[in-house]
Amino acid sequence: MTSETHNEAIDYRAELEDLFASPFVHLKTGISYMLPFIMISGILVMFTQFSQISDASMWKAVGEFAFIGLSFFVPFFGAFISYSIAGKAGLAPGFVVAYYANSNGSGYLGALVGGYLVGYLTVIFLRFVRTNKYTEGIWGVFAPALSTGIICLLLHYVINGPVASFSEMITAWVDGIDHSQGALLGGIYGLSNVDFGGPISKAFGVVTMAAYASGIYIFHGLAIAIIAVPPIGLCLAALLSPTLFTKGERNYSRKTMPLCFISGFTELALPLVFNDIIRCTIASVAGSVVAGAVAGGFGLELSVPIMGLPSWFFVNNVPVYALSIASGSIVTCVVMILLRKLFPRKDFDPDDEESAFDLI
Amino acid sequence: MNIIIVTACLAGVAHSKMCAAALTKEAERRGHTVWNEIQSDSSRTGKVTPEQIEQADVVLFAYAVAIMEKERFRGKKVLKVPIEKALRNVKGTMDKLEALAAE
Repeated sequence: MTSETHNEAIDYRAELEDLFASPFVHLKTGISYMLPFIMISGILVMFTQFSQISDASMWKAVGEFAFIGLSFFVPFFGAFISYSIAGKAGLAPGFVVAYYANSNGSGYLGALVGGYLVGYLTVIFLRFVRTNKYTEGIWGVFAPALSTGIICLLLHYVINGPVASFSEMITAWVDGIDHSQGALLGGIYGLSNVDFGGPISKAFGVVTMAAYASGIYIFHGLAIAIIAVPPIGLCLAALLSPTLFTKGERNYSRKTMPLCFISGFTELALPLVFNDIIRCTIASVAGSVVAGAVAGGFGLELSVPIMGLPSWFFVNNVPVYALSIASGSIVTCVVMILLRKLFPRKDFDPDDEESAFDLI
Repeated sequence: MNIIIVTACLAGVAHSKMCAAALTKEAERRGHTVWNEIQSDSSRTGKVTPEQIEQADVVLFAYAVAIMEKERFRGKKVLKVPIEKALRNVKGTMDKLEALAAE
């Protein structure tokens, strides 16, 4: 949106194609910039647990600022969806729209829809409305305000109501769920590990965050139960059955194993997966489905959206959490070893040191 | 030839680093000079300098999320590839990049 672009003839077709070329990148950008807010708050909230032991005023202060990130992640999610579409001009409109959505009933879903709409509207205003050198400066200031106003009104009159009643419906359904339905839900959720933290996992993540924003914690319970299963299971397989893995893979597994428990990233499994996509995916999904079913069946919930080590403080049932991770990892490990024993890899060289990417 | 590789992935943890490492290895094997910019929270590579952008023959965006400050590369030959595709097909991506630079 520099000054030159307005004075050139506009190639509408090419501009439009460019605009709608990769719609999901915007969603992923929103998630990417939202996550640090959750991480900061999640880690800080962990320290508020100390206030139960000693009631120094410092821990109370921590309790006050620790939740700020959690109250702002939805606005920033919308802001960066819009930023990804419209550049700098879209950031503030996205923030305002998402903040309005979040505080007026439509929550995370409203922020998602509003962020997209306001981003596209802003960029369409700025690129396609012809300006001359006198009106250009004014239009550059006025257009984002106009798009923000239009989308906020749209949220107010059209979107907020139905989305709010939809979330209430989901909340009521989740509240009435029993053990077998929970296990089924968990099993389905486990399938999200099929791409190891890629787009499918993140799509499930969007649902999870939407549920969290409306006060439903069970999806986060399922998410933490399955998230570390693939890396733990695959690394365990490499350590228990070294003859089936290359030297590079074994070294990587040894280094990564402790990190799997601390950090909670499914992506840690990737260096092992890229050498052997099919077997690793089958093993990981099998384990994740089991872990999800165990967690869902016993109604595991997580009240603060944080992955990895700090999550142990916020689950409603620690033994179930441990059981779900352990059972899932063991299933992944056993399936992996069986698959490699029954269907050995071609061109397998146990002394190959280079085959694992180095992440850490 | 001089190549700038800019990677950006969702969590800034795994894909961006792996992709940059794999592409750099392949490019250096083919005798090119490579400058990396890994756009992640924990990355220590920093930004490419204006001089490097000036000298670069071609720029590769391997992205899953929006590349920050794209306007720095205006006027350069830029190849945009989704990061997953680049990772699965490192050699093909490098072929495309060389073809673009030769145009």
